[in-house]
Parts: sequence; structure tokens; C-alpha cells
Amino acid sequence: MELHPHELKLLETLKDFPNGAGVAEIARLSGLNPDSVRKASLWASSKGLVSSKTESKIFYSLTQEGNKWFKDNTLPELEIYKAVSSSAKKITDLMKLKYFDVGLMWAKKKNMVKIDGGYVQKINVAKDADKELKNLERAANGRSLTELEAAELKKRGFVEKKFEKIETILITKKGLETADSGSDGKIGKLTPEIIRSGEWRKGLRPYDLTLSPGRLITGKRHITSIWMEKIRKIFLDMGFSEKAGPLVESSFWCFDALYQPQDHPSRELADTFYMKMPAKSKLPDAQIVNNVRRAHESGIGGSTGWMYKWSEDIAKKPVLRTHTTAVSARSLNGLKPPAKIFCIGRAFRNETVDYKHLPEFTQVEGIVADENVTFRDLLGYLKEFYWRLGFEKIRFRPAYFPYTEMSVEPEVYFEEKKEWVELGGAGIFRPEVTNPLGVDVPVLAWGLSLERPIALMTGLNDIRNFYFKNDLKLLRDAKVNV
Amino acid sequence: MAVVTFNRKDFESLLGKKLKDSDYTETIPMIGVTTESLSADSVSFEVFPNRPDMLSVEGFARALAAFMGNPKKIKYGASDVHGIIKVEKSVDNVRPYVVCAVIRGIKLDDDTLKSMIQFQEKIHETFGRKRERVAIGVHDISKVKFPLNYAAYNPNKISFVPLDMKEKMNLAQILQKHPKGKDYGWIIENSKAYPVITDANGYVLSFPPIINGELTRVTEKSKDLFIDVTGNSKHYISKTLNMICASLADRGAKIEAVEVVYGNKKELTPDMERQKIDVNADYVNGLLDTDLKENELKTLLVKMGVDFTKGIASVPCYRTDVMHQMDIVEDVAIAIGYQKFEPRIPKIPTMAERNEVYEKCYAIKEIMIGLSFEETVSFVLTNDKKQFTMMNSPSEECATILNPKTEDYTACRKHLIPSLVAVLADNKHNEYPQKIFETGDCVELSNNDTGAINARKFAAATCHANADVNEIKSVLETFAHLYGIKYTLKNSSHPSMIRGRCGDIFVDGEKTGVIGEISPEVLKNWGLENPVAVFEMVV
Repeated sequence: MELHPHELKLLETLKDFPNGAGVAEIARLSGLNPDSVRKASLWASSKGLVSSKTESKIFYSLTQEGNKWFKDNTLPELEIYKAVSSSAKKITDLMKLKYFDVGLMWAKKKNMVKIDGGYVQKINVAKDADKELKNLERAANGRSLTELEAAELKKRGFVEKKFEKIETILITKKGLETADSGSDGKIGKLTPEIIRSGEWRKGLRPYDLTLSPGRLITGKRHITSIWMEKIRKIFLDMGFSEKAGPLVESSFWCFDALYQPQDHPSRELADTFYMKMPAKSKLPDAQIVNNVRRAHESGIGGSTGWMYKWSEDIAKKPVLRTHTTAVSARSLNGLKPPAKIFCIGRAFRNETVDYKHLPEFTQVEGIVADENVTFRDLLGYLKEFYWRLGFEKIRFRPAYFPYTEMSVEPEVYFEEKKEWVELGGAGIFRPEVTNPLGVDVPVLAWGLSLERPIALMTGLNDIRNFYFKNDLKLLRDAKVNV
Repeated sequence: MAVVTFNRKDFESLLGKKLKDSDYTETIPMIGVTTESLSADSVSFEVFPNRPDMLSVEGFARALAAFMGNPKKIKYGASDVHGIIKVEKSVDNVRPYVVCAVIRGIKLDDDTLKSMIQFQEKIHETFGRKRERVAIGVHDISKVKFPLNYAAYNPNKISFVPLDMKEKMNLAQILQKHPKGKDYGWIIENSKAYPVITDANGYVLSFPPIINGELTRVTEKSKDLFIDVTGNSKHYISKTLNMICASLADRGAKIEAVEVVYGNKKELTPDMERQKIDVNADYVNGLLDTDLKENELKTLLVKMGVDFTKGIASVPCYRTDVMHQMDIVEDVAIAIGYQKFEPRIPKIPTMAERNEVYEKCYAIKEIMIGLSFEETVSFVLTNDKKQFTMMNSPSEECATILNPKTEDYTACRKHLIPSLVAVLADNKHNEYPQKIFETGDCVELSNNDTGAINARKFAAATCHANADVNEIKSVLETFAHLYGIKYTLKNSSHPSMIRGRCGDIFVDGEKTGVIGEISPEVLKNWGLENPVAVFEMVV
């Protein structure tokens, strides 16, 4: 039989334990680490060489309080007892003692002392208390206590009950035979000495490579980072330049420059995080501000506008940006077409957390500005992007955003669930957005979800797990080659 | 976004066509609404905010009828003038505008009444901005004696029986006690006088935007209605009145006008004239990459209820969303059907430019992965407790949120180390050693235009039974070598770290970070039972 050297070590160690041994003990005796012992015993048990049994064992561990008394090697009632052991003391004198109240209570309860005319007098020996202290010591040293022995200590909050699973590994008859025949004089691990000395000529023992060695702990990218990188590459490959913008953004760039009226519901406190600090942001050049004001109040470039009184004070309120479209708005200012820009960044909404919603999420933003771009090109970029991301079927539905016209919601077909899933919003920026910022060509724009495609592609439906909790097991198990 | 529910039978009868289930799931979404739910009796749609006219079952059916090639041929407009409403100057500072109409010969069966109430509620909530911009009052006209008066009164001086109450209340009491007063009082409560519509007898019809009087309550027996719409923008209240009148006209009612008198200026409402807008066919074709002739445009636009002749689009009075010819382009695109546009990629010669900060982070990640560190990604949102208190660190000035919904997120992080410690605290059940790193944005107050800047930082932590500052120092040493920076360390102190085991990191003479072993007090705060060593620096 081909044995892994660890299996052999395991069997050799276990030979001396007809009643089995625990993992820690085997590890100590064999020099293997506990993890290797566990793996080796798993392999060996699949070959019928060992068997294992798991027992749940109760033990008592010291609480913080218990630990303190253990270290001081005393108990409150013993302190009282000691104080009155030579002669009775006035209660008022004893009150100076630290733990006087508790100590006296227990000392009385255990019949160690009594109170007589304002004096505390000893009656019995401190047998019970000594025993209790001894039990505390035993628990501290990892020895087991009976339920009875632990009862009082537990009541006093000195120890707590815990369960421990104890796995005992036993060697089988077949294991014993194999262990004997395993010592066939052949060499296991090849070492520099063995290579030099030529000792390897005695023969090298074959290993069973079909056994699973278990996975190593590695370092790697976070799931969102892997996908973000993939998306970065897609846009860089298509000739887009990468931009970033401030997380704390003025209302002006987050909303006003995007032609979102100041009484728009998405600007309400219930949806947007407003800043206490910083309390106010500065507006850009007066000309831009006036253009934006005009766009809202009476229209610009042939538009009627929203027809209301636009307020600079509202535009100055800083927010946590609610979408990365704020970055696009900033990019439009002074833009020289042709231009293709993208941004992957955090955005924030004043939402309570559930499996689908996070107050903080990531958006994939992009704009294309060129005099010849059309609606078909918008659909083309979206289709190409999702195709490169791995979604083959895409469709477009009319949608509404205040800052785009021909607003669309791209939906991809999710094969496994057989349903269309909406992934974000896109459109052509309205003239009321581009015109005030001095851009006179059509601008295609999109703001897409990063988390949704990841959730679809990885099957991690509850985005809190990987994004919010950073569960290391999940992160370590996640695929890199996506 | 607003979800409306219609009686399916009523809807299809207004549409003039029986629909299959597939029409609801396939055709209707292509106008830009989502079918939320569908049964034999009822159907729910999610309507986008640019089409409030589709919040009524009549308006929805009207739009769909045209889209499906069967446009309704009703000419909307008011016939006779029914009466006068005088607007006093006193409303200027509280709710300056009103438009009215009289509806005659409406049969208010259950469906009509229900749909009217739903429409009113949805308009109030969305287009009406919770009644601040638009509030609608609907009255049984039989109890009303013209001329009417719209004026503002001292809240304690005028009283009436509001809807759903048995006793007279004055305006101040209504704000305090009536449920609608509590909900909407905020709109007017800062004014000295509140707006009221009264009739020739001095009876109160309405206390906009709060509540109507019980006197003019609409019942299933009502035949003729008086409608008032008030607000702070003539445009939005007029559009709202048009939507209501068009819906009721679709049910066969006759519309009569009301003369609204402001001092010596008179206006007839409703004004149901179509909106005219210049539309350049080249502009449309340029944006859609189509080659549509004027007559083709006309055919397409009819599907959206829009007329088009000689470069001028004529938009029905109930549409609120047409601000620019671009909106007409969208109508054309929807009429064609988004699925008919073939996606393509244009050739636009641009050179990609990489973002320097992200490129640096890319290199950092490469190195840290090689050192077997697992990348984590945490929230920028945090709070004072996690960022400072639990780190045994005094609070620092940082970007804070005015209106947090939970105590968990009240500020933006200024440092990454607390994020990493939080990750370790969340992962005590997972296998050790745990070596993690993060590159991420922190936020720092600044004198820039927004008052705060993103500060991209990089931090690493190691946590296991044998972790200590020496280990993380050799990580820093290796990292710095591979990343190509020369750093020096100066022993220092940090409230989160063990004294004598922490230092400041200097690059080019400038302090860029800290390194150290987290103090046992901090570990205890987080419930961590293994030592943790960390460093953090600016990218």
C-alpha cells in the first residue's frame, strides 16, 4: 500500500496507543503539525487503517473574575476569615477591607463566621472555602471538575461551562499490520544528506498522489477587486481613459450640473447623505453656475427648463456622492471631444442594509463624447462591455433619468435563473446637462452596477458576505480566473 | 418610483382592446413602464416620473392605445365658462396660484372613483412633491355657489368641518389634530396666514394643500365636480389640471372652464392647448442614426400621442416631460422600439490613459499578494466608535454625516487600520494565520472646493499566535524594496499601539504612515485573541 510519509508517521505513533490518542498528543509525539495529523488520519481512515471517534467533553474555564481570585490565591470569605481568625473584630473595622460585603456574606453563608453585638467572630474552619479555592485552581490548570464541584463556582461567576470536542484516533488491525510492513527500509523524504550519501539507492517509497493535500492559505485579490480589474481592462482596451473624483461632492456637481431639479426626490434627506462636516462647498466659475441656473430656471439651448427658482445655497450643500455620474459631470467641464472616459468608484445612498442593498456600493461609469455618436453607439458600447464581461444576451428597455434622454436600462439574460436582470442605467446626456458645461456634441453616458454582475457571476447572492463582512473563508475560496 | 394598480377589466375597456398576458410582459415594457404584477382582475405598473399622465388608468390606456396603433380621437378643451374664482393678494406669500375646472356629467362608479383617488394620491406624492408643488382638491359642485374666493386667513380666525371629522375646526387645530394636517402642515406652517377656498356663501371648500371641507365631499352620487389645483408654480398646477381633465374627458365628461382673476388679470383654466415645439428632422436622424422623412416621423410620433407637421411637434396638453426637442427624439426612438436599433461600435480614435493612483494600487496589490496577504475591501462609511473609541484613540476631526440612518455609518473613515482590525474581528472563526491588506480611499477635510479630499491609503495587518511588529516590519521592508521607495522609521507612540513597539514611517523626509503592534487593550475591545501587527501609509 502506498502511504504518505505523514500517514506512516501517524501509524507509527499510534502503534503505542491501543486505546487511541488525541490529535494534539499525536502531533507532539510525531513532530507533525496538528493540521497534518488531521489530514493524514483522514486519508488513513479512508483506507481503513485508523478509525476515529469524537466525544463532546464538558469543561469549565475561568472567567475574568475567577482568574483574578485564582491569581491572588484567595476568596473574599477567606479574607474575612483571616482577618478574624486570631480574634473577633468590630464590623466597622472590617469595613475597610476590599470585598468586605461579598466576603462577609459568603463567610456567613458557609458558617465560617458569625456576627455578635457588632463583632465578627469565627466559628468554623474554612474547609469549604479552601475546597472551592482548590477547585478553582484545578479548573485553571485544565483539570476536569464534576458538575457538583463546579456548581458553586459557576454560581459565583468564577467559571463558565464550555464544551470541547475531543477526537480520538485509533489504529485498526489493518493499520497495525501496515505500520509494521511500512518499515520496509525504503526511504520516504528525500533530503540533501540522502542525495549526497547515495542512501537513496536503497529505494524510495512510492507516495499516493491521489490523496487531497488540502489547500494552502494564499494571498490574493478581493472578489470585487478581481472584477474591477477585469472591467478596467475592458475599458482601457477600448481606449477609455480612467478618471476619479471626490467622494464628498458638492450638490452642484452631484445633482445641479446633471439637471436634477432641486426638489427632486432623490435629493431628499431620506435618500442622500448630506455632510455635517464639511458644511459647505464652493461653486465653480460664475459662468458655469449661471449657465446651470439658467438651464434649471428658464432653459438653455432651446429647452424650457424646469421653471422654478434655482438656489445657490442648495447647490453648495456637500453630499456623499450618490452616483459616479458626478465624476462624469466634472469631466464634461472643459471636455475636448472626441473623448472616452470611465470611472469605477464608490457611491452612497442613505439606505439600511439588507441582502440586496448597501449604503455604499460601486458604480461603473462611462462617457463617450463625439460629434457623430448616436443612440446605436450607446447600445453598442453597452453590448460590447457586457459581452466582454461574459454576458452574451442583452436587451435594452426605455427608462427615465433626469439627465439623459433616450434613457435605457440594459438587462442581461442570466442563464442559470432564466431571467433578465437589470444592471444599471444609461442614455445620452440632455442638452441641459452638456450645454451649460460648454460641450456641444452628443455625449453617451452610463452608470452601471459593479456588485450585481459579480453576484450573478459568482452566485454570491448576499453581497454583504464578501463586500461588507470580508469573510476570509469566502474570499480565500473565490476564483481568480474570471 | 410610483406603482399604480388598475382594474384590468376597466383598463382594457378604456383601451378598447382585450390584452393577452404576453402583451403585459412584452409590449407594455417597451413604452417605458414595468409590469409589476398581473392577475385576471388587476394589473400593477411602475411608471417613470417623466410620465405622470400615465399614473391614471385613463391616461395609461390612452398612451397604450396610441402606441398599439389605435389612438383615441378626443379633442381636449373646455367649452363654456362656468364661473369665477378671485385670487386675493394675501395668498402670494403662502401658495400663490390656483387653477380650476368644472367637470360635468361624470358617472362616478366604483372604478372611476377609485382610480381618481389613486391618481390624486400618486400625483401628490411624486409630481406634486408631497403636495408642496401641487395639491388637488375635488368637490361635489352641487353644494357650491359661485363666485369663489381664494385667500389667506389667520389660522385661528376661520373654521370649518374638514373631511372625515364631525366638528368644526379652525386651521390651526387642523394642523395639530387632523391626520392630513400633521402630514402636510410643514408646507405652510411658517406662514402667518393659511390659504382657503370659499364660495359665495362663505363656506369653506378647501384648505389647500391640507384638506377639503366635508361640505363638498364627493360620493358615488356626485355628477358634477369642481376641481381646484393649487401650488407655487403655474406650470405644474396647469399640467396637473390638464391630466385630470383629460382623464375625465376620456370617461365622457364635459369640461367647463373657470375664470381665475388675479387683481385685474384674468385667466381661463384649464388651458388645454397643445404645446408646440420645433423639431429638426436632421437632429432626430443624427441622434438615432436613422433616415426618417417627415411623414415617417409623423407616423411614429402619432404612436406617442404627438402630432408632427412642417417641423413642428404638437404635444398633448397632459404631457409634462417635453422640455426640448431631444424629448421628441426619445418619443421617436420608443415608437420605433429600442430593440430595433442595432448596436454598433463607432471608430473614435482615443488613447487610453491610466489613472496614476489606481496604477500604484495595482503594483501594491501585486507585491502584497506575493507576500501571501489577502486583499480586503471595506466601507468608507464608519463611525466614531469604530474609528477612534475602540482603537483607544482620541476622536479626530473628520468628514461626518448630517443625516445618518443608523449609528453604524455616521462618518467617513480617515484611517485604514480600524477597517483591517474590524475585518480581523469579524473573522475570528476562520483559519489562522490571517494576513490581510487593503488599498482604499479615506476622506480628509481640506480647503478644496468640496471641503474634503479622497486620500488613497494602503495598510496591511498580520494576525496569528506569533504575529508581532518584527514580522510586519519585514513585510514593510520587502514591500518598500519591491515598490521602490526608501523609507526611514522613527520610534514614536500611538494610542492604539504598544508603547515601544511602534514607529512613524517617513518617505523623503515626510511622514507618510505608522507601523506597530496593536495594544492588548485595543485587541480586547475588538474581542481579538491573537496579536496583531499593522502598518498604514499614504499611497
